[in-house]
Amino acid sequence: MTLLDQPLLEVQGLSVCYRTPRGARRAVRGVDLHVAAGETVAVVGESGSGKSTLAHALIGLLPNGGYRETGSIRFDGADLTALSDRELRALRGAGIGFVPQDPSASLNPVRRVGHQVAEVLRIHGRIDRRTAAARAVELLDQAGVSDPSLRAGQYPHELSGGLRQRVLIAIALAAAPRLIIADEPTSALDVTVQRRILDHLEKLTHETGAALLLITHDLGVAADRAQRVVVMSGGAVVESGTSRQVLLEPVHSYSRHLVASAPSLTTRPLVTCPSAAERSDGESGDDLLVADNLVHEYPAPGRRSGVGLRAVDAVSFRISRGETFALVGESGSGKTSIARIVGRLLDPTRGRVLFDGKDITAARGGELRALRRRIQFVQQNPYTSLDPRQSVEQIVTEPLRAFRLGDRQDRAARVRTLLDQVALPAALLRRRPSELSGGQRQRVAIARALVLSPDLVVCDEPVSALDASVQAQILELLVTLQDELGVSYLFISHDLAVVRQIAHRTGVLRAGRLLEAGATQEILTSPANAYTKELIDAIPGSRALSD
Amino acid sequence: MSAVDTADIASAARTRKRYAPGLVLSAAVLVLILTAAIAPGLFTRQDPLAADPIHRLEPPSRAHLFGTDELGRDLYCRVLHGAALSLSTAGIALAIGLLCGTLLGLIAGTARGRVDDLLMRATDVLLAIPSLLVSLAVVTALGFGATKTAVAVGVTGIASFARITRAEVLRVSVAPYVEAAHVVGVRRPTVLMRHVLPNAWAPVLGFAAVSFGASLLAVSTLGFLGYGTPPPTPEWGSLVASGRSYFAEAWWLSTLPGLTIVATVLAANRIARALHGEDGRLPR
Repeated sequence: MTLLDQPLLEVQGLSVCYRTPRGARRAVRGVDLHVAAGETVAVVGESGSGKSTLAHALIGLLPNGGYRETGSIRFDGADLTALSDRELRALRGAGIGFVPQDPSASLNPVRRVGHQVAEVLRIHGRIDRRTAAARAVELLDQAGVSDPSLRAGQYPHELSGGLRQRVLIAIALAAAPRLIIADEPTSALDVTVQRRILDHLEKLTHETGAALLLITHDLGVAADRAQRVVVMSGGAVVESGTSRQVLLEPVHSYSRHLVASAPSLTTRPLVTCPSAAERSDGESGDDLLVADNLVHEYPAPGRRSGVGLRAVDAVSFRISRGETFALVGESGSGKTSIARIVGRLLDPTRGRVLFDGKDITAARGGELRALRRRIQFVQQNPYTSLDPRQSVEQIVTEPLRAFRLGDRQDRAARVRTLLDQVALPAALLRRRPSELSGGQRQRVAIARALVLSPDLVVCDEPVSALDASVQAQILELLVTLQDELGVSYLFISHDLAVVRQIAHRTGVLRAGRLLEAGATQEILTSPANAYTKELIDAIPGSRALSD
Repeated sequence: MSAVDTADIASAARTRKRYAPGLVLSAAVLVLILTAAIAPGLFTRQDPLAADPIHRLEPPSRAHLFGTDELGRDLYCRVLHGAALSLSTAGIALAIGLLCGTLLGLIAGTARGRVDDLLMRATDVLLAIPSLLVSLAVVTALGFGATKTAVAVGVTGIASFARITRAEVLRVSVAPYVEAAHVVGVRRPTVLMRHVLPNAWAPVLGFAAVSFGASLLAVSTLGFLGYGTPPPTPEWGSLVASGRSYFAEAWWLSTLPGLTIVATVLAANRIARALHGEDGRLPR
């Protein structure tokens, strides 16, 4: 890796604005950035930090209403801001490749993927239709697509998310660009897929000598993959340096905060796991919830009878009082189906759920309502789980009103206590959800779940829609509340890094089957299953820390 | 919103203060007509029913702004006094469509299954027949009069309102916050009234605003065809109709009430569009 005197990409004082009804909003303010040939630089920031806008500004593809206010962008000695649209088009793809964020929305659904790769070659290269098609297959092969000649003839909807992302990488690399800009290339993918894609991208850039500008929200990914890290906040660069520097000795308070809250970089668990000696999994006296041989099958589409997809396949586990049991799995592992069965939102095809010794599998009517007081739910997305027309106070009092508990004053007092417990100021009582941040909304959702003093709270990916720093706060809150109230959690997550902080015991799910379950520490340090091992290795940041 | 420059906000606020001139004009027209409907005495002292055979069929002048009709009655005064009847009939028609439609849509959207099928096929049938034909059939069955005209026009609106409400109810009932309400133990009817309906209603109300113009037009059409309030009570549709026979010698008799209807419908539609959000999105 040779550092030339002249960087490949040099950005100076770049500011980008968006026109909005309320005037211009500056999304990127005075950013300086340089990428040398063959170098990998990561831009890290939370949502709203301007990192995606920066990426789009570099290739001259700002969304409607966006414009460059000041600053220069030099690529390979040429000033990009002075180029015409035509010249920019020639440069995109051939000079700078772009891997977009969302693999499911970035491919043309009505064209075969091979055609979409070949299109780049035909636009930029002096190459005829037949050679382009053959070359496209080669490129797909290079990008790590298995059976490339078969895949080239398929449509995007026939491919998995990981495969689609590989196709996008093939498209970005097709015309052999000298710089690749990857905007959150893996954030929509499962961790194991993410790891394989990033490994592959790294290998490809290394082979072709291309530079990589990696835009990501995950400090772990950035630290693993990049030589240098640039931290953005509020549209400005707050810190830049080598990965090790930023990770181990962050200077700016924001990056220090970011490093401290990145779940993948913290190995310090928030809860202490019981040792194997303290509890044997055979005992059943203190079990709050027992799931026994749960099976859930979705009917085959279009057919009246017959078994369709088996989403949950003979899963058994138990949760003690005051304990957090986590179910970890990638998409399609059946973890959400299990959460919904336990929360009585879904009927299992077979199997039983025992709650406090009673079979609740078929609870209906009054029995179910009584159960609702004791089992509560925290949903994944706080942006959709609160009624936009209600105030915070109405949302949190709703369970009390539903069960006719207390009079107006009692309820108001109870809501204030809870808001206090979830660390929200009482001034928010009259606000509506749209006036709150994502973290505040999730706190409101947690308060609503706890207002009836339930014994068990099912948390379905409660932090996956939130920024890392907010994630850390919510996780700490959940642990504090557990200490205070003795509530049990069934914690559903795709992220082993989150689970290792919060769960006493963990179960690993794959394709509906529970592969192993046990104390979180034991699972993490000595996984019995190969897949668990793969999941642990896929936690980003492990490479940067182990150096 | 830390990235906003205050100077920019101020300038943007200045540009936003200037409303579209068409909207201002529409609001002015509607305010005038509503005032006339509530208190026609503010604009004219004359009696809409007082005949004056000496001044029959006089063209618009300073004394008679809209001219006079075949009995010498002041047309301006008759149009003003007709506003109350025409607007309230249109309003009642709209209310009937809105209430019945919302109720049916709510039932269809929550009951699903056979009830849903039955109700939706019924609305299909209603939508398949031209609305004027439906109104005519209903008003012929019911008999003449303002209230009956309102019912006849209202019935034609039920299908569209039911359709929109059902679609919105289906959209809202799968929202996570509705599921959350079920999970915290709220009973089904309460969930429906407290969470589903308020969140489903915004587009329905938007459509209601747009429908007012069409409703007024339909009411006037029935009045024109002679199904409305019997003469001599002034009503916009019947005013246009009665002027028809004198059209060759007195153009103003049909034209000026007709233009009043057109102006009101256009103003109502313009304001409805503003309420609906200029770009087609609903204001939150």
